[in-house]
Amino acid sequence: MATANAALLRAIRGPVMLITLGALFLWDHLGAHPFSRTFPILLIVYGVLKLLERTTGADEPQGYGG
Amino acid sequence: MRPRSLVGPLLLIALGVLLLLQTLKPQFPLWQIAAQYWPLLLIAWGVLRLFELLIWRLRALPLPASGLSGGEWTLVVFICLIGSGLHAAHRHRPWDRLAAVAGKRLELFGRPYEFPIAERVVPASRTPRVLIENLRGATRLKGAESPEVRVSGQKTVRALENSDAVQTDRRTPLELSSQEDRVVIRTNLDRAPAEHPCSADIEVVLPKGAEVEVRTREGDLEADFLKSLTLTADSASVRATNVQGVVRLHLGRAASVKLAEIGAAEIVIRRGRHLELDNIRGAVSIEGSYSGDLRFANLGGPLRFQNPQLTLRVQKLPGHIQMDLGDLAGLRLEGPVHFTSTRAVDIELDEFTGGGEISVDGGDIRLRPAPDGLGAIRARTRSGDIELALPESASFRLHARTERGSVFNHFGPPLREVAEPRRGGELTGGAAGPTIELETLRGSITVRKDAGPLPRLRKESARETIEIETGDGRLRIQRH
Repeated sequence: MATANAALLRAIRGPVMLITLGALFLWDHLGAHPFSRTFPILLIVYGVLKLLERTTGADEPQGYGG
Repeated sequence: MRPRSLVGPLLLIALGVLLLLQTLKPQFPLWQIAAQYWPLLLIAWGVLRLFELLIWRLRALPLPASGLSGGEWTLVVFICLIGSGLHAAHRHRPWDRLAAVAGKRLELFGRPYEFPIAERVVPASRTPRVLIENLRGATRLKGAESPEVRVSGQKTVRALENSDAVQTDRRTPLELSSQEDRVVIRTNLDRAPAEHPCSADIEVVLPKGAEVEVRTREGDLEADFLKSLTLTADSASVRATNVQGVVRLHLGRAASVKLAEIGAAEIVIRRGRHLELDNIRGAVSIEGSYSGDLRFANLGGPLRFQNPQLTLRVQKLPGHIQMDLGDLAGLRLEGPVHFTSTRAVDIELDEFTGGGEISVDGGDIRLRPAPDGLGAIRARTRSGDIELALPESASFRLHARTERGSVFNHFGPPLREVAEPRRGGELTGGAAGPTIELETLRGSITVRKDAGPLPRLRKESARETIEIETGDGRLRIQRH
């Protein structure tokens, strides 16, 4: 079950990143915060997703260490 | 079998619907919406994909290793680039500026057609007030003995065809009217349509006692023998000679202003380049920035020159002042001389009287007061050397100080060096007479006996030379 959860988390990483990216650009265009200032959120979101993945005890695909 | 994503087709359908809206309703602002809201495409894509993955998961279908493939990410990058570009284009509207430039350059097309302005004459008194409105083109004024105003000239119309030019010429007739003491001359160029720009070069002969006011937008002015002259222009070069009274100039940009044999001058220039004033009997006041050379000579009254960067005041100028952005050289100024600048300026004042106050942000200061007119002097530079030549017989009280540098006493007693514990130097002495204060934060201070006029400032070599004091002489090291 843990592995299945990890697979799901890995699979939704792309779409979640995409949504975040779109949201940041939209924010920029609506004049709230410029993308040049908000881009670190992308790193944070990616980091959080990766963290969740690790804590569910996923087996990394071969070739990825750490 | 791994299920295939439905997002691609769904997005294609959405794109098709939007484009269809645009073609069916041309007023639908598709591009504006796209420029502003294209990130929604990414969000929609992500959300749809997310739901899809969750549904697959609930159905226990096999999940892909990654939610978005490498090719899809490439597409995302392209969407971001195009969307950002579209957004930037809509915000900064470069085409508007392009259109403005194109409109200005429109006069490059077509060709100039020239029309003579037939000479016209109206009688006038010996001291008429004359108003001249010539929007574009050169205006030449000439004072004469006869009591009449005489106008002639030439008009240039830019147009694609002769018929257009003729029509424009007819729409902009020269107007010359006289009412009692007042003469009005108008070239009426503002009536010309924008696509046929025209300019008029006019020559006006008028009585020497005329008080003239000229209004122009763009055009040069030349005037000789008048009573007074007032000019308002956005951009003009001016040359005026032999004006009994005041010359008033209100200019936006001025490539060159030359005034000679004038009663007095009031000049306001937003951005000037060259300015030359010679033989002005009365007061001269100048406001504005400049980027070229300035030359003042033989000013009988006070000179006041001011802009946000500098202030220059002199009571009288029998000699001359020559200056540009980094240099000021003056000979025979009657002071007190006041010069302050927020920029670095090398200053050299020779034979000035009445003392003065000089304060610059940087640059060397070399002063040689006239032997018979020593006044109180305060000179200060943040970074630069100060050199002062004093007449041997002069009485004064002097205090000179450098924070970092040396003081050189070539004057001898009563001046003496004060031991300075730090890296600076201090020189003080004298008992009676005007006070002299010299101060530099970084640089040397030299006080010496007057030994003739200052040699011309050699700007480049001065900076490239290092002087070292060696007991009984100086060692000069020059860099090549």
